[in-house]
Amino acid sequence: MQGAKIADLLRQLNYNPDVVAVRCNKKIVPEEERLTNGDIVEIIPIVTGG
Amino acid sequence: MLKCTFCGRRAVYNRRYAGTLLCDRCLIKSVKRRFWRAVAEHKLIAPNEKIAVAVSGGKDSVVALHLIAGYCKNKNCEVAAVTIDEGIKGYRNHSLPVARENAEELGVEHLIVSFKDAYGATLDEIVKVAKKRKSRQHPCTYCGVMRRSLLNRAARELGADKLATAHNLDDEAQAIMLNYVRGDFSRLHRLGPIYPPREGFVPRIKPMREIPEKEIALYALLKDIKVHLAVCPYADGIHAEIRDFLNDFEVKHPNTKFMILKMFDRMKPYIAQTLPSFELQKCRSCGEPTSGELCKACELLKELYI
Repeated sequence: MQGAKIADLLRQLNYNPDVVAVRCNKKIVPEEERLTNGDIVEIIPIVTGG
Repeated sequence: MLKCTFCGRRAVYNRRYAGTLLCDRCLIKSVKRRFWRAVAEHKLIAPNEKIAVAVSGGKDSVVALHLIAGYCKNKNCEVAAVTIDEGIKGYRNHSLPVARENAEELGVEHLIVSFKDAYGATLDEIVKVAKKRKSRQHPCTYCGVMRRSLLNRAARELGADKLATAHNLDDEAQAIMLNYVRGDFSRLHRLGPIYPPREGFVPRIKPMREIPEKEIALYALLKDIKVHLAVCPYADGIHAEIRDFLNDFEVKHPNTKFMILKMFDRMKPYIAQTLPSFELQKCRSCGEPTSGELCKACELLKELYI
């Protein structure tokens, strides 16, 4: 996904950006950030409770 | 690398509804500012008051506890945390230690009240009986009604002047829409930043209602605050459907959630005028304030013969 936005990745995985936080290489990033080869992306679900 | 609209540092968040990018510092500052603004604008906390904060251990309530503790230190107020242990196996037993840890870290008095002690049954047990008796009530109905009743009781026992809950923008927009969908006028009009004092009820305040859920989560992550991130096993049905609908709508039409809240706040005074007032009396079973003979919690338990 070289050059794609994290938002594109979330869309492919069927995640709404409002319900997750994203860490790229251990740093929290906005979903408009672009990916480069070798990036490690962590998707953290943030909608909790009842 | 995307940069913060305000200071040029590395951005961590795209605030789509405002068309701005924020760095960690600016996001943290903005969340704090919105909390302080809500407290000031709606006069939620007065000097020297004692505030009981409902803390489950989840991100919203833990962040609320941190913000309220910080505010109260500044304004010479007292804070106490209240946790209701509903008895949801695999969920509440994981979040409760997180609530305790945060209260300890902040040096805040912490009261834990359980369904088992108060009602003689955990929520898991109540749901099991309800299923057996083919009750049409959703587990959230039992949980919500009983939790609210116990929170009020606990806040009163603590001698609190206010009871703070951590409802965020998403929660409020969902509650407004849910009451529209259900046509529940009387519940709709109770929503708002403060539920005014009535005999037997500790006034409830919602200082986080103008902060989106995601910004609260990012605040906790960026400040490295220990929170329990999990979804309640009973969370489904219409609540979840409205939540998903609003989240999808917000992506397509940013600012939807704020507009729902703002429109409701403008309409609220007119809604209140149309509702008849009613007298409160003590529940003949538990003594909590109610408009009928039995409070809703006792009524639900009576239906199940608990």
